[in-house]
Amino acid sequence: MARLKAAAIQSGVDVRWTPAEWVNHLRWQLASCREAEVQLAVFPAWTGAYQESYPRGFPEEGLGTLLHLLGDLAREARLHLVPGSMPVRAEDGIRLRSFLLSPDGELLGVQDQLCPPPGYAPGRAIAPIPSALGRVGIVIERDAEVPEIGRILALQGADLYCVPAALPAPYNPWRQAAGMWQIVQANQVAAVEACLVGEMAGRLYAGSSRLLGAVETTSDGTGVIAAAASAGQTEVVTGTIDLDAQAGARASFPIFASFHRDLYKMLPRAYRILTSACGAAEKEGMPS
Amino acid sequence: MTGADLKIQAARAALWWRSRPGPVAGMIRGRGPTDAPEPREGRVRVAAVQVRATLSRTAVEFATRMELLVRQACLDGAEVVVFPEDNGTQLLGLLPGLEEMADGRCVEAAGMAVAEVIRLASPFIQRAFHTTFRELARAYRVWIVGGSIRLAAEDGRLVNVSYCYGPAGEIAGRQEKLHLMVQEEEWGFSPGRELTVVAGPRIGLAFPICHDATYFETFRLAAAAGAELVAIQAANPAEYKEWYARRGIWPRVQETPVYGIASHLVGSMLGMVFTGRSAICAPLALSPSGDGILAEASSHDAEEVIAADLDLSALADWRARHPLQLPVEVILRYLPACYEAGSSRNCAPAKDGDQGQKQRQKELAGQEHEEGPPPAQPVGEQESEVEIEERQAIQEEQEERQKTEGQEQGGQGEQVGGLGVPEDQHGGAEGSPAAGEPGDQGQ
Repeated sequence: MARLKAAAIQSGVDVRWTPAEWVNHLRWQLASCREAEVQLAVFPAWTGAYQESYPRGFPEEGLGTLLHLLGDLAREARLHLVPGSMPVRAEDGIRLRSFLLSPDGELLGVQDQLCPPPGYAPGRAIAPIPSALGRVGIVIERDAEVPEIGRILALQGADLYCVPAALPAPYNPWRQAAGMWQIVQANQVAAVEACLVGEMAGRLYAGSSRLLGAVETTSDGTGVIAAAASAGQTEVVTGTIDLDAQAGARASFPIFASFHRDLYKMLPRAYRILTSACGAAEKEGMPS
Repeated sequence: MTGADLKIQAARAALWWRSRPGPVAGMIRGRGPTDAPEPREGRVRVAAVQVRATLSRTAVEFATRMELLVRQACLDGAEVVVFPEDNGTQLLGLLPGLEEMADGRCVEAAGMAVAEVIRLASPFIQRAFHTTFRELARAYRVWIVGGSIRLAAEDGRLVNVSYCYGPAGEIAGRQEKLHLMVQEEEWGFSPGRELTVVAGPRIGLAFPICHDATYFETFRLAAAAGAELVAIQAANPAEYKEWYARRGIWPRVQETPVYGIASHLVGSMLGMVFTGRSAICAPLALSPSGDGILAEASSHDAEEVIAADLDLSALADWRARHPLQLPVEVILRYLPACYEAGSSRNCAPAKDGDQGQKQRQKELAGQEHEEGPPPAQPVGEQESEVEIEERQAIQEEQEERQKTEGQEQGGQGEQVGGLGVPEDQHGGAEGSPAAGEPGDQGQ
């Protein structure tokens, strides 16, 4: 698929929503996507946090019913759907999970957040999800601040990142750029980044939802295909991602061709140093 | 002896004469610190020098220009002064007739093989370069990252290499460019093998080159080796575009909390036009405007020196309060194998990946309709025996590592610090236990 019309749905959530209210919220947002003939819609992180799933997590054994429901929504809107993330009560704790559903309502794949906030269990697997749109990597919330996650997905063949995002307020555009924008540039993989806005469970979130591409693929060279007009209002951002142009950017500036694999063999050691003792221990062995 | 041989001999003689160290040392001696501000406790003042490219016909001409820039930086109180990539390439002007031959055209278009030119001029431009910066560092009692120079190394490899000079005029460290551009590979250059960190003035300093800043891996390695400041030397032969430029050091400093310097070569040289805005960067929270910029050149095409204070206490405090939270287990399970698989973006065997996702889909979608208890973990994430052993091995290694870390780091030789690939470790001695295990690649 050379060109893909996508939507980043910038919206809030209310953890007090009943299941019916929650479904109405999703359906209402997806109606405008259907009107715009969008092929892919992405909701923000925590979109699945409502009465049944927050704070204890939706029971994993009940997911089948929920996924049928989400499949119905994807089918109604005739699009691929990433319904944000939701707390799921798994064996090892509450995970923050996202899904990709096809326009036929079929579940194509799942992804758990790998760097969840405190109190949540991290996912332990990562892979792009094959779909008719290409291979879709889902990068949830804080995972966008970890360049290794975007790199792994890109090396696994991701054509597109879907990013259910939630940036704490106050909004700093540079903080947002330091996340997904730079991962898109570092790997030359486009992204649909949907930001949570407003208050959720006592915390404020703000962000500008965006469709992102390698700078070479955007006419103004910014790497932003489309962006929300505000960082705090509900809005559906639509745009077209040109996967042919993406391939062209990779060919003209082949970042992955310059990997230094021998040097990278030292990375495991580096990670152990960086995460075991940030600061003082790093400098041990440094001469004075 | 052929005519060509005679020309080469004549060129060597001219290079030798023009690169003599005596006049350079004589010009610099007697210069030195002026009324520069005193260093402040817990802070280091650094300068990025944006150099306008000009071929220098003699070492003295080059040194005179460099001296002016170092003086300017030191007057502003800088303790570390960073020059750009290809700063030493300006010394190719020592080669008689080069400027005329390449005027308005690239060297290759002028019918010259880049490798031949570098091999011919290498010993002489190296002599002029070292003399200039050793003398300047000593005279001004400052740390200088001299920018890069293209040389034939002792082992015959062509390298794009930078040197860091200490305030006693010593060579404190050497850094070859690690990630080469395609054109550099076509010219016959080889990548460096290790990343160096030197103990600068109260600060760990790494000084990789240009394209190295495209890769977060460089900064992870630098920080692990003790860098608090990563000084990138850049020469970008392309039209200036703000957001293209922002792909370099700025995001790297946000991902791996260090201070960053980018020093750019600008202007025309050897048929190429270089652009860039030099900058001194910091993690967002440590920059007054919240944009990650401490200082930035006012233009992308003019010579300029910028300087800023780096607050080491603030960085240490930030690191302590916001330690890197990385999913190390996941990273080690996947990333080494992905690198090994090559650059074709196919590290996850498609069938395995697809089957894994489909199996998870089936389990999740159909759980309520199937008999028996739900799986303990989502399908595709259950650890195999091999994975369990690997995880345990990593944990044991971590514990062992914590015990012996000081000893290991102290044993990195006379190079002040750094992470590299010793010859005997090529092939994966340091690779993660998961590297090369196809079972770890898909779900």
